[in-house]
Amino acid sequence: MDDARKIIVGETAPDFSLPDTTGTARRLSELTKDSLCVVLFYRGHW
Amino acid sequence: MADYAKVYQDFRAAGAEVVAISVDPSERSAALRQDLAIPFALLSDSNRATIIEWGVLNANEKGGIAIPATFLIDRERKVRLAKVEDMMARIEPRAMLDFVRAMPKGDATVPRARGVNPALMFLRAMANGFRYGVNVKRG
Repeated sequence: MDDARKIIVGETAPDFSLPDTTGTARRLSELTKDSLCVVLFYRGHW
Repeated sequence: MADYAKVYQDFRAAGAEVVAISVDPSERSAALRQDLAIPFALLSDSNRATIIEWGVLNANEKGGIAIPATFLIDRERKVRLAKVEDMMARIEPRAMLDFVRAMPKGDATVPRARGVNPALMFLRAMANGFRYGVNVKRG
């Protein structure tokens, strides 16, 4: 069982590249180039 | 998420972007985005790689979904705020039901289990998980 808390304030966030609803890949490192970025995780309806 | 939608323009004006991630496929997110009039991007992590890497996988539901969580990432990609919903505050009803069903009906009438009972060991492990935390550490 993985107990580690992965995301720690002050440390570098893992980058991601995920498709938006138009199929365009959005990369965190691109998003944060010229602005802060709020990253929300939500349950969804899967 | 809908609450972030309401103030999205304020975030933009303050120099911040907003994105939201779930395991939902893009088509489903597109429908949700339209239904709730969400102005920011909904990203699809269907293989859960990012959700796992960010430590916000709830593996116990629906084949694995994201635990609701909120992060603020700065221009150097440093984490400035992190908040993960505390699942330990609530025991899911099905797990509670399984636990209740495994309880002895009364100490006098039910003999104590002898030897190794895998089902009971699992439930004990689960109970300890609830007590001490499995997926999520408190902030």
